[in-house]
Amino acid sequence: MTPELWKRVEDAFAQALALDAEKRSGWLQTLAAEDAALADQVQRLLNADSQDDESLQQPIQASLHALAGEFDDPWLGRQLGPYRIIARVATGGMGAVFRAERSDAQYQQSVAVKLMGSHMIDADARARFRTERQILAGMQHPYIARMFDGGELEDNSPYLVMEYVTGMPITEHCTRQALHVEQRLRLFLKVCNAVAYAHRNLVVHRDIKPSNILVDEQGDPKLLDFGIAKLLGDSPDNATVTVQRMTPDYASPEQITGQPITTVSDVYALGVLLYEMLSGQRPFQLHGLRPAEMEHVVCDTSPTRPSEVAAAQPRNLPRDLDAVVLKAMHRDPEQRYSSVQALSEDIQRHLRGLPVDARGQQWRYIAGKFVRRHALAAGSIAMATLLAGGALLYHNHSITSERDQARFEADRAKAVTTFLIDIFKQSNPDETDGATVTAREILDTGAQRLQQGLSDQPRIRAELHHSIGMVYSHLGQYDQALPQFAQVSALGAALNAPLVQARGLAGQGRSQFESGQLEEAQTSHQQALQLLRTNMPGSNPQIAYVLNDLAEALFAQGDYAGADAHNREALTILTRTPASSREYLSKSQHDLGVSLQIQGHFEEAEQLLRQALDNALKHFGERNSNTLAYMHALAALLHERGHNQDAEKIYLRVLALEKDLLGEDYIDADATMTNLGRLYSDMEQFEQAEHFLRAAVAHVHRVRGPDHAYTAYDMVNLANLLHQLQRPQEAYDLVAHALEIYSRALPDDHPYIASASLTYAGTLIELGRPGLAEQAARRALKICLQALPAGHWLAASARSVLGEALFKQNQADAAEPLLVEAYPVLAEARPGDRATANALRRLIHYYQQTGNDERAAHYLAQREGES
Amino acid sequence: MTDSANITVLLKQWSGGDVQAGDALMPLVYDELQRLARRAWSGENAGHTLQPTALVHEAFAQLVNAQVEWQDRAHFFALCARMMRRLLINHAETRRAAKRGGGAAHQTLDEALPSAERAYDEVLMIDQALSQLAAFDQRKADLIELQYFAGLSFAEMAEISGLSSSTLGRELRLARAWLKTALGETR
Repeated sequence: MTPELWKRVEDAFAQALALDAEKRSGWLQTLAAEDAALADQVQRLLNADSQDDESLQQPIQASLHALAGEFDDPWLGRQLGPYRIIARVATGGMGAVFRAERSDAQYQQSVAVKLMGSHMIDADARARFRTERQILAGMQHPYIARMFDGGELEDNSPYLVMEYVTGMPITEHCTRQALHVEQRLRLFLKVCNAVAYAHRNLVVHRDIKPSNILVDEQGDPKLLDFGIAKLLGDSPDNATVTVQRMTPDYASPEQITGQPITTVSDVYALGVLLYEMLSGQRPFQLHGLRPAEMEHVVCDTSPTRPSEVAAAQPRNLPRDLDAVVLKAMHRDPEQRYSSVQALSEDIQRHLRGLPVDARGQQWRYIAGKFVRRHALAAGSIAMATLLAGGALLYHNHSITSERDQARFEADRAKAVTTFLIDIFKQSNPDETDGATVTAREILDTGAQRLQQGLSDQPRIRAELHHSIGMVYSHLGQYDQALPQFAQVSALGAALNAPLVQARGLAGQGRSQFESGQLEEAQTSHQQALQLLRTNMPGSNPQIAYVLNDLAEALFAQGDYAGADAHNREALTILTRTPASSREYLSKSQHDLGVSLQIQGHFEEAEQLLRQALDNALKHFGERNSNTLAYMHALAALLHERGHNQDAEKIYLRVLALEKDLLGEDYIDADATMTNLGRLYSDMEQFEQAEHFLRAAVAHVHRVRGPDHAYTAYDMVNLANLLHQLQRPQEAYDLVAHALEIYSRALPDDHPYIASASLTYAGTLIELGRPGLAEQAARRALKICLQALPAGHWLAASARSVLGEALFKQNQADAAEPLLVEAYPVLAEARPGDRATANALRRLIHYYQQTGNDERAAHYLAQREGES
Repeated sequence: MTDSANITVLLKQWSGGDVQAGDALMPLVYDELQRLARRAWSGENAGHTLQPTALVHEAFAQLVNAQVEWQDRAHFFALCARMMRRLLINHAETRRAAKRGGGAAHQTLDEALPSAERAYDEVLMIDQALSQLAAFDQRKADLIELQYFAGLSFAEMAEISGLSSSTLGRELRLARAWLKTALGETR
């Protein structure tokens, strides 16, 4: 190779690299025409460039190993304080690890000795090293390798003496044992447990990776090298060095860019670990990249979803886990789980079949309520009936006389006192090794103690289980509440006390409902109902409460007729009770009203919602969150019926009260703003409409963040307005963004995605892209047919939009039946709605364009008739 | 073992242009690398990694006063890279010669270490290709030596070579690509 020729190769290679792949081949062809040999050489260099550098690295390393392996190790047999070095375990960039034995003690104990080269650490760091060592020595956790001791050699190089751990790296363990997903998650939770413990002791690991987490024969993990990365010092100016010492695959963006490292940096590394444990691969392929390239990949790109990676293997990963992993390893620390605890709680939620936080709201619940968010405060109302249920009296056929009753009360008081003292004694610092005890831990202790205690007084035990279940419910810990209530019903059955049993079942049903287990909830409530009916007078309000709970479970599953029948029966019972005890009447009235509204029976719905509100005003007053929910529901109905001024007044009042009562940051304030914005849009007060819809987006963005389903929901509403105002480009941008959020936050077949896709399709038609619009409309239609009751108006709306998209593509024959079929469904279900007006407009346009004047006139007449 | 003050002086003289000082340094560094490689490994855990970078940095810590100026440090690492290469090549050649002439006694050992056997062949090919590259582009060959035989990081190479990171990146990329094509052709 001559220098001249090499210079040309160099230049050509640099030019080729500057081009992207598409342009490159054209460029190479041009070059080949001039100089075929040069082009060929450059092509071969480019091919080689795209391969990794294993062929250079591996032989050098392997021959170094071979060379070193032929010699004896001078460290073996050396004495370090009381420890004698037995064998070398590993050698790496940070130093060497040996197995050693404590030789002066009567017992034999294997330890690991970690030696760090003196070049790893300077004088400042050595001083810090001593303090940190003390902290690490104080950490005691079953899944963390203990640090026993440490010191310095004659040449000042520091060493640490740690628990000797045998086992294999966690990822290898998963593969070898062929663990299924749930087992992997449970193992991962143990790791989280250890890391969370360290964080409580203010120790950040900083170098979590599979080779630092060994799994022993019992299947328990052990974390090595806690805080060692910090001992070696990684102030911002030598952060890059630290990262090079670390495995960059697990380093968070802030570690790579030398930003401050906190506990959420460990959350990131745990996210990467979970990614690898679940998918079998690391999220980023960093091998052979230069630091700047690594930085780019880790800080600016998003990894493939673990489920897509895992799909290549015979393993199915739920999408919920994608959301959990990606939230944990979000490149922005603010967007990650705020703590390891939060990460592990979300995984536990998943294991219990609950929707995960990472995915946004409890969508199953929302799906039951469907598109309208006005009914959303119903959750807080529901709690009220459970409270009422809790007041269920212990009057029972086995306690007949007043004297029996008095004796029972006295026994109960005594037993409860003893029990409570016992729990608090368990939580006494002398008994807990000095650790502080939280109220929650006391509760957990109580729940545990109750499993064994009070076996001679089952009735009182049932009562205590119920109380603990109630407390867990109030804390939103429905999964903890459920077994407590299950105990109540089991004890009730054993005691042959059907009312106790029913009370337990009612609690079970509510816990199941709140956790999204709708069918199980239905069964529990049905059983409770049957017990109550056969064992108490039919007029007892307890029966009505359970009827209402059952109705709610049916409604959420789309069984409106069943729900209505049960609510009507509940209302019959409740209206016969004395006026003073009718505070929960509103709940059944409201639920029935909303259900009738959804089915289009507006008149009766309005009547019921007004009654619900009147009753709530009487019992709770206006300044009450339940009352606000009823006001909101009424306003939404009035809007739907076209009584816009009345609706406006109520919404404005709700908005003011919410701010006053619940504060600026009230989490659901955006629901009111969005509904008000939609109302103004229908009233053609567009400036007001845009104002409130934008305020809603800003609010939800602030209180729930940019990735929440509700943020997207409010964006879609704003997009609808802009679309209506002939601003398709702005509308398109918004709804495209919203769909992106939904794709991460909601399941693929959620109705929100259907309605957003329709808006999306509409804007695409305006923007002259009917082909893409067709795809979006088909997607919406598919979701509607899968996820909504048959004949739902949203499916009709999807057909209408699809018809228009096809017509724009000159497929008039295919378009016509869709357009014709859609309109009457909408006219029936959504009179006065914009979707209905649009469907009619499309029909008229279709017949005008196809020259069918008769049909056009027919539909034009319908429009006249409606306005 | 030579004391580190002496080595530091030699290093200063060598980077000041004194060729004889360089000649005196070479065997010292060579021996130290060999000593460290022996010490680093007991042979009982063949699965773990022993990296050039660890040896080279440890050699620096052992031999040189940490207060030297960066030019001296740069020269030292360049020397280490060269010596590491020589050490590995010498060892590979010795082992290969032993196999050819040594007869049955070594047979079992060689069979037990097929990967070492292949590594010896490959490292000798790398050495040859690198010499070819040096014939028309010494600078790139030196950079490759630093990266693979001394295991220096990109940042360290940038400091030692004085090249901007974009130039360094480009040079390395072409050198690597060329070497890989050269190795591919000899196989």
